[in-house]
Amino acid sequence: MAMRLTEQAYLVLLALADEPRHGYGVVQEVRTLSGGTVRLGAGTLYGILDRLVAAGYAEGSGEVVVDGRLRRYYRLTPEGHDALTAETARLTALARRADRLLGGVTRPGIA
Amino acid sequence: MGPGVDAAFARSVGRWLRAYPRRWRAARADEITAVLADLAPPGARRLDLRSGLGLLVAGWRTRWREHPPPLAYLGYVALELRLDPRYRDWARDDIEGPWFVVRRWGVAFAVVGAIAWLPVLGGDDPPLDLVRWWAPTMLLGIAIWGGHWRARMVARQLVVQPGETVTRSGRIPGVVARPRIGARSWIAAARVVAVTVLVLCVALLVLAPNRTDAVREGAGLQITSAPMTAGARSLGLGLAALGALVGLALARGAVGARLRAWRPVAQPYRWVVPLGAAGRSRLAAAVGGGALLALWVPGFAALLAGPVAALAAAALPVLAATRRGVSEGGTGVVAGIDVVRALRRQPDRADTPVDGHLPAADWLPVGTVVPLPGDPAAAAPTPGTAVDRRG
Repeated sequence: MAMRLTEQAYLVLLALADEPRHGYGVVQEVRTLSGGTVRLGAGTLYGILDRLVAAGYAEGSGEVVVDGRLRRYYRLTPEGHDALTAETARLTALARRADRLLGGVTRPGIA
Repeated sequence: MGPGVDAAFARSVGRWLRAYPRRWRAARADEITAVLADLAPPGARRLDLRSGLGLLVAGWRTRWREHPPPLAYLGYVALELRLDPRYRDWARDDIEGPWFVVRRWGVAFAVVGAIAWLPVLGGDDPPLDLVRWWAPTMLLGIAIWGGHWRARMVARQLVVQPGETVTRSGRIPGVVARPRIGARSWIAAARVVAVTVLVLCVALLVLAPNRTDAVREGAGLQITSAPMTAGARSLGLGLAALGALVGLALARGAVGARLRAWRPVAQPYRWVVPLGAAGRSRLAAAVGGGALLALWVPGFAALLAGPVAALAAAALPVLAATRRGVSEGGTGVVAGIDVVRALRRQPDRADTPVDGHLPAADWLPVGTVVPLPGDPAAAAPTPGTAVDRRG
């Protein structure tokens, strides 16, 4: 089942790209990746994780208890990796087009 | 939750998490509580409002996402039509929830009520009597038949059919261990019932203006209504006080000895369960139905109030002593039925297995398609023989 990737969902997928992470790890990584502009709340994070798992883009990869706190890890599936690659390519192409457009346009000034 | 999360903080999170479906909470509550504890400032004892509202919104979104479409839901509620298997998880939450039987009978109530009120459109008087009697009947129906309705819906909605995919909420018919309410849960429920009944009876004895009476007329008895005299009120309240004294005497002497003397037999086909939300709703329906009946026939209720109050007053100290005895140990009492048998000095009897439902995942792995009849892949373990757990 394909899923439309919002910016937040894209960032969560990206956070899982290099290694499996638990919920708090995803929140931190998303903050780093977005340069501190995206701060996921737990409700938002688990809504996104639920949808990513239902779409087959992510899956649980085990759990551990650290200091009495349950950490459930999530990892990217091959389908998730494909979706992430496709979305990254789309964003790259979009950024390239935007760059081209902006390169030929002067900044509007005040008359 | 583990020792790593402050208990008060976990309780605070638990309250906000009620926005999520029950099954979701059961699977993820510990995990999301840990994440929220990580995100919270050190020493936080409650979840901040912003995070709480985030959970509230996300929880309701999750409910909405998993809810069947309106038309399918209407067919499910009104006609018990089977939902698409993709909504099986939602159906399980619904069927196991406290409001399932209440809503199920509410629909019947609404249908009967609507039919009964149709003549009002033609100018007839509203059939208030019917509604008056139907409400307690409905509540008592929930108390008595609630479990049966629930089992029927499990069979219809959750049992996986050939060609369907096995999920965690899927069920298969089977012979299962007999569920029995745990002793602590049973005692707590019995105490709530006894207190409620006692309060209602005392209120009736103090406030009821009349009571049903039988007057001898010649060879026969005439049932009539007599004013509630001060003597009748005192007699009823005296009976309640006497019941309390008898209960206290039993609690001091006999209860502990009977609990200790209890000799349980092996129960390989018993599954001890808490009363649970469904059980509590049935119990509330029974008490509510009884209270409504007392309201509709106050004279008869006033007549019975004294003896019933005596029983309730006697039960309270006995139940308190029983709870103490069970908590302290030294007795083999485990289930509510054990309490009854031990206090009545009856011998224990081994439970026998009963028809029920088992998790389909005990038969085939989650994600497997249930084989069609004649399919060679059907060489899976035979379903429906496990008796060590309920479905």
